[in-house]
Amino acid sequence: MSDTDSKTNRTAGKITVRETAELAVITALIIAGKEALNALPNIHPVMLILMLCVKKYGSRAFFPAAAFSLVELLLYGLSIWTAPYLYIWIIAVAAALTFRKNSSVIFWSCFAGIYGLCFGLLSSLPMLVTAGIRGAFSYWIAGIGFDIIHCISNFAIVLVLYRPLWSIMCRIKDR
Amino acid sequence: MRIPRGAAAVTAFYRHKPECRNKDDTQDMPRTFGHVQCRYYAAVNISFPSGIRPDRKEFFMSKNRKSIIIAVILVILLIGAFAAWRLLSPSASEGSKTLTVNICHLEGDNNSFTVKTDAEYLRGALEPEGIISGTESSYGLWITTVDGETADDSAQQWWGYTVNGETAMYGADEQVIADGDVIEFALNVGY
Repeated sequence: MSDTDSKTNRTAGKITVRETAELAVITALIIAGKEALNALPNIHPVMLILMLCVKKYGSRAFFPAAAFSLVELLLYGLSIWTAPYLYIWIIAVAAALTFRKNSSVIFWSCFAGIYGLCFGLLSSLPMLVTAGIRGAFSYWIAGIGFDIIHCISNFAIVLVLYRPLWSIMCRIKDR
Repeated sequence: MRIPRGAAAVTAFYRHKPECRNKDDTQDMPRTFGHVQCRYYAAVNISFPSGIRPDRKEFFMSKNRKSIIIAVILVILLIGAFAAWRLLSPSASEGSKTLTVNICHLEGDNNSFTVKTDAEYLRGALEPEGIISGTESSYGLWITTVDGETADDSAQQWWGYTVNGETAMYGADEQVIADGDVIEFALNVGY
């Protein structure tokens, strides 16, 4: 446990086999959670699990984020709509890392909500290349309705599930 | 029973929740004294004084300024996004419109229709005419068939359309139409 401690994590040593397995299971959980709720637009626990992973594993949360993005790209193919996955979850983990010390449920709910709201804006970046500024702008505006759903659902999911999942994660990680 | 206070509450908390003693969880240990007591009560499962539930008490006693700031930011962004969505989205207009609908089939045999409609959105104009059909999804109509040709999902075929030469950003349910619009459907292959 000491080598993933918040203080020593920046100079993190070698990743252990056990951690690799844990991170793999977390990745599988993220994918399962996302795919199981696919029918509901933008309602999924991806952000919640990644946030908890950041809090528990620090910068190693980049691994599940990257693996999740890779699997999603393999599932759906690389297109203009899936291209944001190349960077969007990496940015999410990086943003969460800067607030890692914070442990307020309200704070993390708001954080996830804001990220959900910005999701469309970040997703419209590839459109800059293919459709220009006007195209990217109208792509973003067209999707704001779904961003608002994303925001509210992220907020609610984190608010309700943060504590129970955190205690489960503590139990797994610190055993 | 006597309610432990201060350091005694922390000790009592750890005695009942030894798994919280490790370093990672001290981050989770509330900073203010009131929290510790709340956690302690929750840990030993005794009733709360004056009927206050632990979570509520924890929320209201939290002096975490960052949470308040980020909550305010969230609300402002949410209102801003909603306003941008309402104000900047194209608005529908009523009245009769004439649309030109060009269809590029896969085999290269193109077709063209002129549609007169009172509908506000593209779906309302084309679906009754039988030009488009498809399946319902949570995002609205997913167009699978245009002018009799059905996109083969397994071959990664999909129908896309442009409005006056620009790639459409909306589904057929939300695509606002105006008099004189030229809609062009094309069967694309590959995502």
